[in-house]
Amino acid sequence: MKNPNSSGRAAVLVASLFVVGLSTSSVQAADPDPNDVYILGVKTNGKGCPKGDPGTVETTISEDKKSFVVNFRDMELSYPPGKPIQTTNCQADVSLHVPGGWQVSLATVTTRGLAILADKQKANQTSTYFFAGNPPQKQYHTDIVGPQDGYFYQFTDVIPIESLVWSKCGTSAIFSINTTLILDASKNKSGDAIFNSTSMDAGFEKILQYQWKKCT
Amino acid sequence: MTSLFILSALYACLAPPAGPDPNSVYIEKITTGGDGCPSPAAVATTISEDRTIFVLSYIKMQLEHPPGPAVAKVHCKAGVHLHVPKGWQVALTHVTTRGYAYLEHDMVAHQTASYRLAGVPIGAEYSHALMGPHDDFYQFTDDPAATVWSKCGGPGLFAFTTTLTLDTSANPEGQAIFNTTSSDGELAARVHLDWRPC
Repeated sequence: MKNPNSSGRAAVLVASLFVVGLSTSSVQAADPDPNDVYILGVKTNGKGCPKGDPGTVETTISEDKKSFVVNFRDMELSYPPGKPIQTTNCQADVSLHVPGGWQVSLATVTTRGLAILADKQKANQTSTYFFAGNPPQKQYHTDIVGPQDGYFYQFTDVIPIESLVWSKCGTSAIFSINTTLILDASKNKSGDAIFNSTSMDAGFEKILQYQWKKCT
Repeated sequence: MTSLFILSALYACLAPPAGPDPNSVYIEKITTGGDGCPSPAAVATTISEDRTIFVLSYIKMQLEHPPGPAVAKVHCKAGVHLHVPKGWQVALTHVTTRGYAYLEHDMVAHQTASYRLAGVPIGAEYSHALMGPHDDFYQFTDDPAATVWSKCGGPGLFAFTTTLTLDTSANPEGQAIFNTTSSDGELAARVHLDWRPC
């Protein structure tokens, strides 16, 4: 994989504090303000969260409609059985209300899961972020290399304020987050691997919060 | 935060009205079919609040080897139904296909997108190739608005077909995965002045 251990996944603490500050001061009542940025809905689909099987995913939007959590049940790869290279994904398409004069971007995303890998086996977790209708995307990769006898991972992606991933000014937007797992056991086909989610309820968890700015 | 609330108040008058304006161009609905999206459950369709942007997320737009023949193919055809008021032409623009490919040496994968519009003889087709060895995500962006515009006042029915082909015949012992996870695009955008008054 290219770009393993992207540097965007390092500065977790500073950005988290920044986000907490923003969200605390913008807590609102149940009815969202039409002049504010808020989440209208989230749709999920992919091999790891098939739309036809709604039990595979659980999505919760916060009361202020500025963040959400997705819990996955079936985002899991294991070897054996199957082929040495395997992949699965879940894409969340988030409809956003964006009032005139504003544009919106994503601030932080945290992904959690578990990797068990034999020697020389490799697991890759990639998160891809983009606005629909807007070709630039931001992608963060992390490689986990075996042996790992039970590594609970947590990756936080901090999307810089001046990142390319911003909605256009004055239009509503759809923000997409595609989470992909790739398992590569080709360098040790006799070893066992599991690359999945952590908790008993689901596994991956994404916590999202939006930052916003005025159009110039 | 104070400045934020003041600005919010200032922009109150610019809030968009509820529901699409019949005098504007917007997406009415999107229908899908094909072996890569055989039922509504196999594809998630999201249209933006202002109905000018869409994204389709797929489950079955995936080819793998083995098993299967040395040359494999899968496709999904999306019908994008547009509301086109009198005096306007529309197009699709910034259509991006995103996915992942793992190809061992001598394997070739192609992603092809074709755009046709009901009642318009000229279409557009774009093809993108990936050669093994390859282990990475891809994104391909097409701009069918360069060639395919509706007639004035419609009908605005775009047929947008995404096809994946995988050729492993030069390395049948190797493994391959080739998928498309989503396609997204927008109506001819205001900011790009692609809406042409007739």
